[in-house]
Parts: sequence; C-alpha cells; structure tokens
Amino acid sequence: MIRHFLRDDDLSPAEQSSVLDLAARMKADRFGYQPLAGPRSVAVLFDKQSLRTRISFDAGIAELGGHPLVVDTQVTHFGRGETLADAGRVLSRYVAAVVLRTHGDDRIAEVASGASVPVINALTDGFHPCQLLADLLTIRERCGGTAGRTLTYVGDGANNMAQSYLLAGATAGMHVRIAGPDGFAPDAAVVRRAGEIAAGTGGSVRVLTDPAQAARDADVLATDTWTSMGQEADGLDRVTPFLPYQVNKELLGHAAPDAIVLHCLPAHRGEEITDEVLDGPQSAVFDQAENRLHAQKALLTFLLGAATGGAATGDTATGTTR
Amino acid sequence: MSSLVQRWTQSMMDNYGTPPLALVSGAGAVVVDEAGREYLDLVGGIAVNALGHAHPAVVAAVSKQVATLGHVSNLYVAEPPVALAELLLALAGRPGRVFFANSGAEANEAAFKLSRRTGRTHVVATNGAFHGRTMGALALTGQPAKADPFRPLPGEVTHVDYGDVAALEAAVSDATAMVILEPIQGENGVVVPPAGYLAAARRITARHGALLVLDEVQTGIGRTGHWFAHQAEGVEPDVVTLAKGLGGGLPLGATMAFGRAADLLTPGSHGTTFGGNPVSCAAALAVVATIANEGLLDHVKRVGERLRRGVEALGHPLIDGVRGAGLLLGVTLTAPVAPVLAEALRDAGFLVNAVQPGVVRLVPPLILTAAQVDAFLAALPAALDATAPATADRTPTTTTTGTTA
Repeated sequence: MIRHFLRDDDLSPAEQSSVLDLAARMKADRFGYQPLAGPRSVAVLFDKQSLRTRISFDAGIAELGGHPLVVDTQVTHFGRGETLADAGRVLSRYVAAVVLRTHGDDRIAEVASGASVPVINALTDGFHPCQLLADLLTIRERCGGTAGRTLTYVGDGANNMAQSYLLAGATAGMHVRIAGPDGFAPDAAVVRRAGEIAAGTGGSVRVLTDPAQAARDADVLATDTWTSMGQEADGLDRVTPFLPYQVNKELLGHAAPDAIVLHCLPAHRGEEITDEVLDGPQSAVFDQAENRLHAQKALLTFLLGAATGGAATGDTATGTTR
Repeated sequence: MSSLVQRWTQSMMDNYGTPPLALVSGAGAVVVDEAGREYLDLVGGIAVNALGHAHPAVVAAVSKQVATLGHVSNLYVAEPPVALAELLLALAGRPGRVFFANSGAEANEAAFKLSRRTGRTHVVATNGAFHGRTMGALALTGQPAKADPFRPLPGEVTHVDYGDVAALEAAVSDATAMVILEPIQGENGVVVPPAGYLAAARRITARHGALLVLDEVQTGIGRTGHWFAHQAEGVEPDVVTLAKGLGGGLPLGATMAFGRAADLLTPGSHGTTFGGNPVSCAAALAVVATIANEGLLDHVKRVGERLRRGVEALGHPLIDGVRGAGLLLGVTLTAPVAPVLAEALRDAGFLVNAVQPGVVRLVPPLILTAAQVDAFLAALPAALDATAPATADRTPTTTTTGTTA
C-alpha cells in the first residue's frame, strides 16, 4: 500500500518509533543501508527556498544508493498547465518517491492524490514533519527518550513548526506546550487532533500565552523564526508581540536544569534566540540539523518498504545490502 | 413491586417518584434488571454513560487509580486532574483554565460565580433551559415548574426565548455579566436553535463585553459527534461547562474558561472538596482516549444518522419528527403520550426517556452499534401501535391493545 507522509500524524506512534529506531541504526552505520541501490531515483522538488532540506535529502538519497533529482519548480512546468494530481501521476512513472516543499497543504495533498509512489512533505505552510523526526531523534539522544518528557515551543504558535510539534510530540507521548502571543495560536483543529493522539499515548497538549509558564521544568525548549517563509510581507507586526518569547538565558532558566534547546534553523540571532543560548552548552541545534539526514533516510526506507509490502524497519525486505 | 423498589420507597426521599425498574448490572449498551431481564439502554444514565456500562478502559483506569491514589482534595496536586485539564483544553484548541466539580449543576454554579467577578450582576438565560437544580443553577434554569417552588432565587436573571436573536439582542446590555445557553436544549425536549444562533450570541456578547457561557453538560464529550457541540458552529465561547459523559459514569463536572474569563476566579474565591477527584478524572481520561482512539466521533454521526433516518422512515402517524444531533435525539410525537410510549418500549426491552409529554429522548452510549439501532427500529412500530389508542385526538392505526395509560 502506498503510504504518504504529509503530516506528522500520518505515522502511528508505533510507526514513528520504528522510523526513529531505524534512523538511530542508520546514523551508527551510515553507509550500511542501501534500499535505493540500483540506483532508484527520488524527485526532490522545491516551490520554496531550502538549504538543509535540499542538501540532507540529496546526500541522504545518495547514501541510500539512490539518485536524487533535485529541482526548483520555478524552472519547470510543475503545477502550470496541468493539475498537480497529473504531475503526481507522471512523476510516479519515473521515480521511487517524491519529496516536495511547497506552500499550501492542499498542493501537496493534490500531488499525493495522483501519485502512485510515496509523497513526502519537506515543509508546507502547515507542517514540517521531516524536521520533527530529526527533532525527536535528537531528543531521544539527549534526553534518553521522548515519552513523558516535556517539549515546549515558544514563538509563533501559528506556524508550521508549532503545529508539527503538537502532532509529532503527542505521537511520541510527550507533554507538548506551545506558547505564543494572542493572535498567533495554532489551528484549533490541529490542537484538537494532537489532544486526541495524546490521550492514547500518555502525552498531553497545552496552548498557553505565558512563555515562562510554558518553559517551566521543560526538558526541551524549542523555537523558530518569528517570520516564516512567505510571511515577510503579511502586514503583521512580527517583532513587538514576540519579544517576550525570545529564547534567552532568563527563559531557559525556567526549564529543567539539563534541558536542551532546539531550533530548526536558519536562526535569526538576537531575535527569537540569543547567541548565548544558541552557542551555549544546552544547545542541541547542530545535532538536530545533522539528524535531518538520518531521519529522512529512515523515513524514505520505511515508506518504500510499506509501498512494496516490506518490513516497516526496512532492514531486510527493501533490498538492503550490508 | 420488587423488593428492592419497595425498600427504595421506604428509605429514599420521594423527589424522584417511584422508579419503575431496579437494575443490577450492565455491559455495553445493555442493562439487566433484578429479574434477569435485559434492556437496550437508550437513556445511558441521562447521557452520562458515554462508553456504556463496565467498559474495560474505564474499569481499568478507575481500578488502577483507586488502588494508587484515591482522593487528595484540592489542597494538593494530583496528576489525573492536571492531565485531564490539559486534554480538555487541547480538545478545545485554545489556551484557558479548568475548574473541576462533581456535576453539571456545580459546573454551572462556578460559571455563575465566575461571571460575578466581572463586576457585573445581570445574567441572560433562556426559557426552557435546564442548567441544574442547585439554587444558583436553578435561577438560570428557565423552567418555572422546577424553579417556582423555591423562589426567591439569586436575582437579576432575564429569561428570553431560546433561538430568538432579536430577544437576545434586546436583553443584553453593557451591564450584562454573562449569557448562558445550551447549544441544544436537551432537557427541554432536544430543542435545536436556528443555524447561526450561537454565532449571533457570540457577536452580541462581544459587543457588550459580556461573557458567553455555553452549557455543554449534555452536548459535550462527543454526544453530538463533536468533542463540543459549539465546534460545529465555529464559535469561541468564554466559558464551557461539562459533566455527564465526561466521567463515563463517574461523577465529574468541569468549567472551562478561556481568555480573560480564565483568570476571574482567584485563590479563595471558589472551591470544592471532591471536584477533580483523581478516580473520576482517571475515568474521564479513559473516556476521552477511547473516543479518540476508536473513532467514536465519526461513529456517533453515522449511528445517530441511522437512528434518525430509521425512525423517520417508519412514517408512523404518531411520529412527528426527529430532532437533535449525533446521539442526542428527540423523537417528537403528534400527541402527548411520551410516558406511555416509554412504558411500551420498556415492556419490549428498550429504555428511553419521556423528557417532555410529546418528546422521547434518545441518549444512548456512544458505542451503540448499528445492530442495536436496527433492533430498536424493529421494535418501535409495535410500541407506537400499543401507545396509539391512548391518544384521544387520533384514530388508532391498528387494533393492538394493551395500553396502560
């Protein structure tokens, strides 16, 4: 069965855990897994700019023995002159999977509706689920696990990272706290979905406005830019209301003494996070960036395994050559 | 009269009248009386037993909690109420705070008291509303027969017709502390307001700086196929009260407040000994998890629709229509014979609630199966026929006898 990964909750708690297990094994044995040997190709399409996503998918697909086709869609006919569903159908004739960074979640859903190969969300306006797999891998490494840990995100509670923290964190059994100013709260339906997931995983979900209250005793303190891609000219004041949400030494002081700090990068130093914290001993930001590579390799392997009826962990049934 | 019912009449206050049945056990949507006879329970403890009787998730959660930490009062923190508050706020999707009580009336009392902390005292409620029977909640309840014997009640409550936007508009002023509404009036016979009524109430209260309090004691926690009925309307109230289905059979009420309303109650201003009891909260956590994990919201919509369409399709002359949402349905009758119909159905093995003389209320467990719906639909025509001769203003459709009106 074709499995897409468009939102964080497209993986069940057990599936998310098995992808993260595989990611850890792939990190320990970086070139030992080659499910794309052939090589099979993967299309990596960008409607929006990218650095980490582009390089990590490009490198990761190569490390899996495959061939990455990295394309800026502005120089193609993608979405112009044909429906996105048709584009998904056509691409499926060429490649083993499609990775897409785009604007509206409806766009990637339309591509997926036509695709007969897995489609992976490499960031949309609503969600950034690949980043969250990397974040959870980092939390596992630094905190010894995810279940029962408190994950606090402060800043723009309405952006894609906040919404992915809600869904992925709840799936991982974490206590997720989102704190943002009035008018910058996550979509209520996403919060509700996260609450439903948390009810089954033993996690919890809270949306708050007080950053100190949200950060209190947190195991993980995460933030993101106050102005996400495409919001540069949305007319909203994206500085003044956010100033109390800056991740600085004082806010970090409310978190658990051994808390880690996450930021999906690029960081606007001096805005949402201070140099002192980003470069400080509690920062796990650059491990988090590296883990994009390992987490995405594991995700691709899992989805290709699901597509061919192979083992979820991808070790045996997807052509691994060790 | 059974011996248990006889003992009941000799030892219990008579405020309920004498119950017709003594029930001794239950499993899922079926209950068993002391003679061993089974009934399909379409009353569900008056919309309380969201997961039916003896649901394994509730049994396990309650057993584990009572064996771990039973009650601590609110002088100390226990984990289950905190987790439940977080979960309810997550389902609402908005920042806020929760107060736990033991019942719907107490949840509404808390909302009433909270509204006084705005510095205003005028309250608007609706005719036909049912918000409970404690003195404060009774003042909000818009049913004179229940309220009149107990006057004077806490004052400054204006009652307006339910569903009438113009009446609401006229009643609310800058001196109004709160407007309290049910998204569907359950106790008044499952009365559904016109589309846009809640949104209009939101606009009117916002314009006057009054709180909008939605009494979701009966409609909340999946009863209408949504976590909260107001979510279907896209309305954001200041306060939501819950009870009934929340505890899945254990006593639990909750008052959820959002925005500035969340900070109106301050230390010492309100309290309860049992509210937020860890055992009740553990049950509620199991209820919500089960509804979420088993897709019961969609199930409620599907099964509720099957029930509604099935009743309407009977085309029986005693049936006027079906109103409500999800598994909160009122079957309206063309004659005031609901108690007779309830008795006929009970004789056939189905428990329903004659909520008004001309309305039978169906509020079964949310786990009601399609097969159980079909069994009820199969039995309903004969019960209606048995009821029909009792109506003075219509000609019986059959010659069936046995009415005990």
